[in-house]
Amino acid sequence: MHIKITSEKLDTQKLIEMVEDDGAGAIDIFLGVVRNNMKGKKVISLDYHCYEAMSQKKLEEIVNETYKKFDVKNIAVEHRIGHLQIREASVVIVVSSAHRGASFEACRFVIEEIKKKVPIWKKEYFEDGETWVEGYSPDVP
Amino acid sequence: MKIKILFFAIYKEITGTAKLELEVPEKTDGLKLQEILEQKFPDLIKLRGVGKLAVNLDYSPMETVLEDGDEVTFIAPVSGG
Repeated sequence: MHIKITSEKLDTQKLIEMVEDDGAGAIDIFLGVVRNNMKGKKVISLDYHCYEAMSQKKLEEIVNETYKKFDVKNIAVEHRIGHLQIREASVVIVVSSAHRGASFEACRFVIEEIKKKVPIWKKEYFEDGETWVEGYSPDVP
Repeated sequence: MKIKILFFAIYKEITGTAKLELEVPEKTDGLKLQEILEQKFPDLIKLRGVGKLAVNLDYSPMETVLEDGDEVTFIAPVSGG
């Protein structure tokens, strides 16, 4: 397992090398990237803010759950924080598995869980202002 | 007892602070803490019912009774990924 929250540019190739496994027949990659519009309104750039200690813990829980649910070899996840430009990657998830189905499904599961549980907030900057993006209100046990 | 309160995102903007050490009565729960903070930062009333309580890095019901030394925050709807 590799999990990191970083303000540096994400390096997908590095994560691919981390999950490589002689028994893996598939490596699936998901990149979340910065889009230039929010419901048609032009986005200039954005900021990701984060509660780092809790985000690290929630990411570990998500990845541990993913290992239990899917037959995968290795999982590596990095989330970028700070100021990002259009087209830059904000999150990268890389999963290896013996057969492709498990890594596709695991990758999807990880990103959906991140969007629901990890305390990271996105602020979008427009030509005429800025706004916090309201995503998902986390479930409380 | 003393607790540590962290503010992020919209909470940080409204309170103008990232961290607060606060003396609160014994048996203070999330609801009571919300009231205490709203007295300190009246604009937080706008966020009532919006944020989820987190205690020591886990989401917790508002009725959770806090303990000395707890690290507490309110989590606005998240938008990572």
